Amino acid sequence: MQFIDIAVASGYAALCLSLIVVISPVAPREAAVEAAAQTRLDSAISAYVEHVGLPFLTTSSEGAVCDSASEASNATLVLDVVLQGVGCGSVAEPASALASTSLGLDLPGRTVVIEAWLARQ
Amino acid sequence: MARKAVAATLASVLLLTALVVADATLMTAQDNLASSAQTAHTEGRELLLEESLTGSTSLQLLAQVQGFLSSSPADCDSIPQYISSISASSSVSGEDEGIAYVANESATGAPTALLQGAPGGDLAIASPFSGFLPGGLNLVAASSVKEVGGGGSVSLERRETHALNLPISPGTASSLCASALGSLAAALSQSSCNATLAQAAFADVMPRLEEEASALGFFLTAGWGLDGPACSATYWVMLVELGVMGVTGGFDWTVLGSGATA
Repeated sequence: MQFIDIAVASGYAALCLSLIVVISPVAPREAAVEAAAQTRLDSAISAYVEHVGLPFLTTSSEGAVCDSASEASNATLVLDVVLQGVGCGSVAEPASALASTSLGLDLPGRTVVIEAWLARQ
Repeated sequence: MARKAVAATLASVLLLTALVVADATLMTAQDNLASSAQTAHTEGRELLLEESLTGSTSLQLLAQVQGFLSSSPADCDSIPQYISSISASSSVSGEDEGIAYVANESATGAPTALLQGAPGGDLAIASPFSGFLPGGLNLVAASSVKEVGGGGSVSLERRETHALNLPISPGTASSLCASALGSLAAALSQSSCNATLAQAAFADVMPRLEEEASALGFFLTAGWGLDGPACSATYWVMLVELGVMGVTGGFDWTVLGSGATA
């Protein structure tokens, strides 16, 4: 009888501990943080495109476009612009990025992809 | 001893149950937070896509119009009809980060009076080719964008009309062309069928016409000829607006006009 009691109690304890591990709130919290970081990156890309304008990205030289991306970058945000498949060589992707995103633009005579990374602080 | 063991077991059961319930509650809260953050991200991404799609289709339209302008000279007498005949369309569809999108845009040239009252829809990212440009070529563009993301739960649909422009000068070209043709008609009419006199009158009037055109940003060339026994002189003028800055770089726009003396 005593053996059964111990077995039932231990089994229940094991079940509860397993449930605590399985329904961990850590995963959704990380998903929320990543979604917020992605939103921040989208806002940064939007601000950059509004600042330079699409005509600039359509006609400017690779050097001018890369300079503008460099100016828009900071300690936590890194922007790169890929023109016709060639990115700015001077831009280095952060070693540990919290999030990354990109936006493709089909402009007259030119395909542009704006890439952005949010570095961990 | 047995009672203590039962009490300890019950206490452990209650504690573990409370822990599981608390964990599940926290998990649900975090799940809701993640879901809200994901929805906000999808909505933000859809707005970014909408803006970039409308901007890029507008530029594609303007590039088509620029191609038409640089390859199709306008007739001096029918510049309003020439502008009204301009039309272009562009569409794009695809998928971006789980968001399916379709964007369509079409534009037509329209009289200035209509465009001055055109609805807003200011497209800042296409500046300086968005909005109404006094004296320039203005187009009315109707755009529609439809996006569906978040597994169908987050959608965006927008239709708007906005003004686009290219900085050619149709009004100036029209008045300059009419003025040049009038001056040539007057000069050649006085030559009384004499080719030498006609050439002298033509050579006399040309520097002023070239200077006037140059001052307004145009390059002017002209010519004339005597038309058989009827003693009528025919003349023509070509105006080229050089290096107009379009969406894909500089281009030239040509206007042709001709006439004959009675």
